[in-house]
Amino acid sequence: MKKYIFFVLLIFPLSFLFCDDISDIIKNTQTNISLENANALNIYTSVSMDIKNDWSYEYKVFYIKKILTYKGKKRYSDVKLRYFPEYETIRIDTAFTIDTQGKRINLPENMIYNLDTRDVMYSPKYIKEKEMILNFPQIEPGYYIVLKYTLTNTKREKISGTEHLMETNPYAYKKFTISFPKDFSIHTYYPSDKDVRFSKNTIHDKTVLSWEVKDSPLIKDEPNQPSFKIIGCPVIYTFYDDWNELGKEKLIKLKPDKIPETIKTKALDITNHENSDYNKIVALYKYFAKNFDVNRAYLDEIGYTPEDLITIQQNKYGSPIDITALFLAYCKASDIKDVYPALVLQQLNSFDDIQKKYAQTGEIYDLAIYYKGNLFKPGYEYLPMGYIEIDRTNVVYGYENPVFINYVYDKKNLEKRYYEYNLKNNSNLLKVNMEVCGYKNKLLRIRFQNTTPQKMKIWFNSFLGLNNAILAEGPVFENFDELDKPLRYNYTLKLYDFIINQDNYVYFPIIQTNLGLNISQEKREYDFIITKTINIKDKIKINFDKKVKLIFPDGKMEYIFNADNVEAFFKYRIEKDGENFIVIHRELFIPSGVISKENYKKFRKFVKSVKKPLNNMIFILK
Amino acid sequence: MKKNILIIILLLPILIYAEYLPQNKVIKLLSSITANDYPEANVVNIDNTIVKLDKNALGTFDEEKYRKILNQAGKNQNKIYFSYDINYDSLWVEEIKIFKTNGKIISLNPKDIMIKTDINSGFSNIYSYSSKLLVGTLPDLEIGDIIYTKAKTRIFKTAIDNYFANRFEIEDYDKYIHKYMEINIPSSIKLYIHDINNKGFKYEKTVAQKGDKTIYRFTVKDAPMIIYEPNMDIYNLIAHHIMITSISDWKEISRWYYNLVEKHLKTDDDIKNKVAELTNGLKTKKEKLQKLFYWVAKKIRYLGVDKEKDRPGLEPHDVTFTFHTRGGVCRDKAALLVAMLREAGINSDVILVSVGNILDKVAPVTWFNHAIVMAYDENGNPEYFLDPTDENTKDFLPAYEEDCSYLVASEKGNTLGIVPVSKPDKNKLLLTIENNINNDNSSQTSMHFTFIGLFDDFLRNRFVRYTKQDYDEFFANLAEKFNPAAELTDYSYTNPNDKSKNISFTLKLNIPSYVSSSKSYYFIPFDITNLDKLSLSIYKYYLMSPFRLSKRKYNFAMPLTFSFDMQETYNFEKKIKKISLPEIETLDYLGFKTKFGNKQNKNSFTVSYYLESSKKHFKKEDYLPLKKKLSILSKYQNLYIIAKRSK
Repeated sequence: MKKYIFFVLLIFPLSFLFCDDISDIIKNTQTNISLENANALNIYTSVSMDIKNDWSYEYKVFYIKKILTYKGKKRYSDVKLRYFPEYETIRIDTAFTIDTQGKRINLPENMIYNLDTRDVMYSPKYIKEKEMILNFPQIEPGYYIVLKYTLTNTKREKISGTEHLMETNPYAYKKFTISFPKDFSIHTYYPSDKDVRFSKNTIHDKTVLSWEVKDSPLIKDEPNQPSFKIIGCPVIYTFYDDWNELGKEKLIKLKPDKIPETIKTKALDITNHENSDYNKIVALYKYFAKNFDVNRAYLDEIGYTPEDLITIQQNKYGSPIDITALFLAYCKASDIKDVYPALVLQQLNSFDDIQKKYAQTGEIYDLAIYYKGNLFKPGYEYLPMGYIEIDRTNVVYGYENPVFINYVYDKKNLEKRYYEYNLKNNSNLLKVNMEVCGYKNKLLRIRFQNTTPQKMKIWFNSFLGLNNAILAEGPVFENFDELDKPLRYNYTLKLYDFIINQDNYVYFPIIQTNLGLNISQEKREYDFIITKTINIKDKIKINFDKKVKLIFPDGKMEYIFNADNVEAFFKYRIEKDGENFIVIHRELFIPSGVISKENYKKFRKFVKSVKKPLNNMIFILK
Repeated sequence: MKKNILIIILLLPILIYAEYLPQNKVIKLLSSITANDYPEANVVNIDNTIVKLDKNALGTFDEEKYRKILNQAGKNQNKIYFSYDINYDSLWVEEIKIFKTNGKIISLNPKDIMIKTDINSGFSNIYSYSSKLLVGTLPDLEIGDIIYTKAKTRIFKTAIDNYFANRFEIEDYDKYIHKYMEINIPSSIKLYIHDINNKGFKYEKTVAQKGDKTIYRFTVKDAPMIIYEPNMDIYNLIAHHIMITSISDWKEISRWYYNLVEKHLKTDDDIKNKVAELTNGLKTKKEKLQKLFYWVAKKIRYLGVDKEKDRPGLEPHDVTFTFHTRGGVCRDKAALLVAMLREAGINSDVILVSVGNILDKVAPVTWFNHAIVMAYDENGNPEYFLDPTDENTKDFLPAYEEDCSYLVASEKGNTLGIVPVSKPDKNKLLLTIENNINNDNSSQTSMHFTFIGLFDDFLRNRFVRYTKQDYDEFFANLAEKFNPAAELTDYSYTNPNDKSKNISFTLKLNIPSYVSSSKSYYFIPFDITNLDKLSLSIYKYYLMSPFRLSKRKYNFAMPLTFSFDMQETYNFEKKIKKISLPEIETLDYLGFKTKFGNKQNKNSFTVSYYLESSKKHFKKEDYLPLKKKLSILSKYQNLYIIAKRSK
């Protein structure tokens, strides 16, 4: 209760003081930006960051936002300000709504909340994040939201970040200012092709940099678009010189020092009988997958110092940092060389050089282990070894002198599928043998690895999503225990009403490949990003009960796309194997990468050719 | 076999004395159980619950839970959770122990293990300090371990004064080796015990008097486990369970909620003025209803905040608060609509609804999860269900709220009802396609879609958020799904804010290679039966999802009654020579019905296809025959018109 009184007391007088200024800003704002696709207009936004000598800082935000649409109302009425209470506080200085008549509507008492975020429920030991929620009253299109708040951070670590001067709604005016002690060295970036006014001053003992935009248009929302850092107007700032410095600061904390005897004994127990370093790593990976549980955590929130190794070992759970550190200790105890911790960087930003040039903590997406060109994350029961859930990104690995590399998993992410249709005597059986890596391997493990026999059948049926088939046999997963190998499984389906009899013709569909690439737009504003590789090899054998006279397809198909360092292809070959059999070989490879907007048309044509429904049909003359 | 005998021997004393199972007996019993005994269970459980209540039905729940880990999936469940609501109860975790297979007992201090957090409802936009969660992570779990927790919940407020209700599951989704519940309650509070869906599974119930208290004891041993099937019918309809409630008549709950709501319905001048403004010039009751309903639905944004004074989480806020903040959850919006309707002279009440569920009619409880509105006719009879929670619905009641229990909160009291299920034409997709096929195998195609009922609701809720760019993207995507070669040349659509019209739109497409060809044949897609492609995937991923399984052990339910009414015309530049058209078999089986029509002219022909599903609940025995019948619908997703090329 006291807390609410504090907020209300704080908000009301301050909001009163600001009211005239705000009315003036609203009145005087004139903009020529197109609002066609906008849901709100950011009338005035001022963000400033004042960094102290000890790296603590104040981050002040003040904005006036005009709501334009119903979507804008839904999106902006409830403002959530996230913070980490262990080293951050938030103070609300001003918060109110202004209606179309200019009347101010204050936030009622119980419209401000300060709650644990949802992630805390899943991992309360490691995540302590809070969100202050402000429910602005009476918002309708034409109304304004006015908010001013101050976040104080006392973590006292080197700072890096990004302030966006373009986002999904336009800015009539935005200014970002950063001030810091004169002797601090900063690296900054903003796109030179955008209309940004930059200024640099020295005020007292501080350097003050500021960036200003007027009439900054919105970023169009396109499927598979690059990140805002690449296509928007980011102001990137960092006090780190490079990834070597940042990487070292974080990764050195994971370096195993003295290995406790119990850990050494356990490690040797697992690895002693293995004859190579790689095999030792595989053995450790399997042991960790089965016996440890990685709890969700924000790496930057908890820092990179692991808990005491003995405690992690005893608990059998920990943060990603704890489990990675313990794995490295096991490796050291087993005398495995060349194993390092690795910072996995944000995939979407890895498609541009700015990620490499500007070292920022916010770019760190995950933590992994690097071993001779391979990456893996220990402690995840369902993750096949060598797959870190990203097909291509930048990675920083090492200890004292970390190395920055571009990591590519593409070709390893292979799916081999063998289908055998037995259409003899109307049996309509389909035997399927699969071998999957990477994402599919993980997905199937999550769904089925620990599933009991009856539940396995129920959920496998559901997973297949076929209304005209029942499981005749299987599914049989052959090697859940081989995390370092492709996952193999098989099943047999009985198909109902499969073959279409039509006058002199018989036809039916063969298994399709869902591309999942949205190429519906004819033109694009931005480049097209493929984040997940598609790498499928199919062999489809069809067994008829009599001699086959095939009328479609009547030849082989081959479509190729080769531009922007992306080599994609679709190959289809159909052949007879004796009188009653046909065999189809089908191959599709689309690697992760960037298709430039200039080459998008060509790529679209390629995808459209692959997607042709007739590619998945077989027509026969009776 | 030997093991089963051992388990039976161990169970023998319990079979004779149905009562609280002490720890030494529990550990002995669970120690003998392995994964082979219960291959479908990841863990096996034993629960002892003792409820002690006073004359106001306030008191304590002492819950002891034992969970034996049988396999890796059981081992992965290394978190323990307890929740409570600070307005009604408080909770203490008193003991946590892990019994290892080697006989070692590890005692964990709950104060070290358990961490309290707020229950954050995430995207639902409900904010409250009331709901708390205690979460603990258990260290070093192994297969074979037995986890023991003991918790005490103190109830200091009930939804209704002197009210108690509980459910004792005989059949459960988890495997219970033994489940015991004891309710110790003053005899002045009579408990009504209802045995629901009794299938002959053995359980024990005893009732004993001790002074001025009555002690009810329930025990089930080796309780039958339900293996969940997607789209299976709801628990209350299929599973054997015991309902225990202190209320004998639904009217009591109806009156209770009426009184809880009524005190918050006082309007102020602003509300009165708004009602006058909105209804000004409107003549009929229906017009007024529509105006007020759409206003509350759209203008009061879904927003949950707490600080209710009497029964937080159950009662609405004062309607003046909801009106002035323009925010509220279902009960707040329902209360405001009732107040505004009454202000306009339309008699109405709030209704409690159990969305997605049918409550046991014989056992009155307060277990509702939603509140809507009932408007009465001039004679005081129920006339309209209205749900203003759905901010953009055209229908007063979206179809996803059909086939569930409801209770009108009325002054005189009402009894439990089931929201009637609509006829298939109330949730309908109407589609006409016209293909103008040129000699170069291209087609100028136009498609006109009209969405009715829940289909309308589904799209309207998307379209109200759309900018021009979103529409561009949506329709281009739809065109590409219809035919990957298609280019969208134009589109038009109804205004989603206009509730007088159903959502409809028209697409104009240019499809360069609409007719595919091989050396000797032409192939033209026969789209009209391809309901998956034409229904924005609603058909495959929602409506027909119950038919994915190979078999069913339990009765099942369709998500909705629905119909599709499609028509496609093919106009050729030249006179059509001999073509082969698909033969469509019609269907009329267990509520599924199809119709097919075909009209042919010189150089054009028109086909029509109709499908309806009019039934919601099905017996498990009907599943496979029905699946086999419906498989032709899957076959019809891949049909072609075939023509031989002239030499």
